[in-house]
Amino acid sequence: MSSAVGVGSVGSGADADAALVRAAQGGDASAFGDLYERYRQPLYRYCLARSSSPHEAEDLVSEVFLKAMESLARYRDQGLPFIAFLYRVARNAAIDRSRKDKGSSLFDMAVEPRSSVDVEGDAARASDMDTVLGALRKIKPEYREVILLRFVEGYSAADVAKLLDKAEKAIWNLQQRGLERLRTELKRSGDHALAGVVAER
Amino acid sequence: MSDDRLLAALKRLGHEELPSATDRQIRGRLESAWMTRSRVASAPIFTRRFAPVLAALVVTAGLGGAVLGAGADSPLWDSRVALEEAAAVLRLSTDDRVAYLLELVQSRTEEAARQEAAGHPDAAAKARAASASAVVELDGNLPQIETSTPAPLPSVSPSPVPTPANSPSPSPSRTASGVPAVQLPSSTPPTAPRTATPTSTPVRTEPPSTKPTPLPTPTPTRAPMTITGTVHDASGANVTGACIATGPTFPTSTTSCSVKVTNGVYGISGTWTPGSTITLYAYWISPTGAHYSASSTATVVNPTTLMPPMTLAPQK
Repeated sequence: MSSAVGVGSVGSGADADAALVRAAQGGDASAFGDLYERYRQPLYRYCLARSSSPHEAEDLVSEVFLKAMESLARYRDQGLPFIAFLYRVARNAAIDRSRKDKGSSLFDMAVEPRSSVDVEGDAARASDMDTVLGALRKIKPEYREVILLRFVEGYSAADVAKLLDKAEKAIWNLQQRGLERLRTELKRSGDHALAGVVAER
Repeated sequence: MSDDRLLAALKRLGHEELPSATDRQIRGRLESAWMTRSRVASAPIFTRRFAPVLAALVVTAGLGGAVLGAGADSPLWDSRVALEEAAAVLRLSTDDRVAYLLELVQSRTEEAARQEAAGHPDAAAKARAASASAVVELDGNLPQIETSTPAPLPSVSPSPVPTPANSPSPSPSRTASGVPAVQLPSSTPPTAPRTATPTSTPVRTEPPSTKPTPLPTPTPTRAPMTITGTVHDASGANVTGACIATGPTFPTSTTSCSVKVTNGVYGISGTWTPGSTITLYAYWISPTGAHYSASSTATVVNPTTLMPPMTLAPQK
């Protein structure tokens, strides 16, 4: 599967990232800036699905990059894009936050209608995204990650396997179980139409 | 329909982007963290347009303590200067900006003196250059004082500053550099023309051992300059709202006060003659109506004159 949002394939990004990381480790600030430019958006979406609000996701992005910077000297290239490392940092940071802030708030993302022509349609689509995000947030992190990387970021199963350091077969299994859990959550939320899609895939 | 809706929802999530304001804030945090981490002036992570945001974050969050505390002999000095000047841009009100810039001028001038005293002329020069840069920033922000000093008056010096040993004349004298001292006219009309009369004799009383030979009178040049200083109350706390004037008469109304103290700091821009002596007065009326005043005298130096601190005392 090609990238839907410009992340690119694991193989093509890893080499470029390795060079940037080496430069950043050597003190090249602009190289770290390039890594930020490259991965801030996918990391934000990742954090968005793990956070209770967009605001929390934004804080998490900031925290992840700061932690990545602190850990830069200890970072060892394993042939993976830097985003794999960022996802791992984000995962741990989100877990830490959820421990500190258990059950703090409901998902309160507000999506502005993007077209003045089809306001009802925009609202419905925004509502769908809210619903899906709410369901994603409730399923297990390993399922959520696979669904995010596969269907939101557009990585292939093989690339997701590399990013998460798992076997490709495991990714397919996680994807299948994740979709089932997502269906269950969507049904619980009352959106049987969306849940039905999950069952068909 | 259902399939489309789910795919659309997931794809839509794939196009969600970090808000630009947050993006800028994160860049700022990262850049300041990088600078703090590396402890060296490094290439900017991002373009210079984020510098003000960075500076604000650094200053307000205190993240750049190490950078902002760097002396002129430190490799972090240039970073400190860049951060401080960028932070000035963020001050929304003119008062805040002026107060901040004046603090910069003051701290850099003091830093220059400190480095000079420590025997680091290069560092002192850097601090002076930074001070001059802050003065340039101040230009246009400071209240202007009309200095109606007539054309340079040679050898008129009612200054109490002792003259050098080689010119111990009790009469008004030239300074060692030969630059005539000229006092800034007060805001009140002078009672007498300023002449080199014995009535303005400085405090020195020892008889002269030699009579100095008059030197050719150089032509001093008036130049735009900044004068800055601090005003405190008796407890040492910063004063805000005190009026700064050039005359020893308490202002009759607030409207007659063109320069006010903000957070203990004041600044004036105008044109003076380097080497001339200036006396400034601070006036303050407490909330209870009590009148306080103080004064301070210094020799004007280009581009920035740092006046000795003034401590307000009840006016008799």
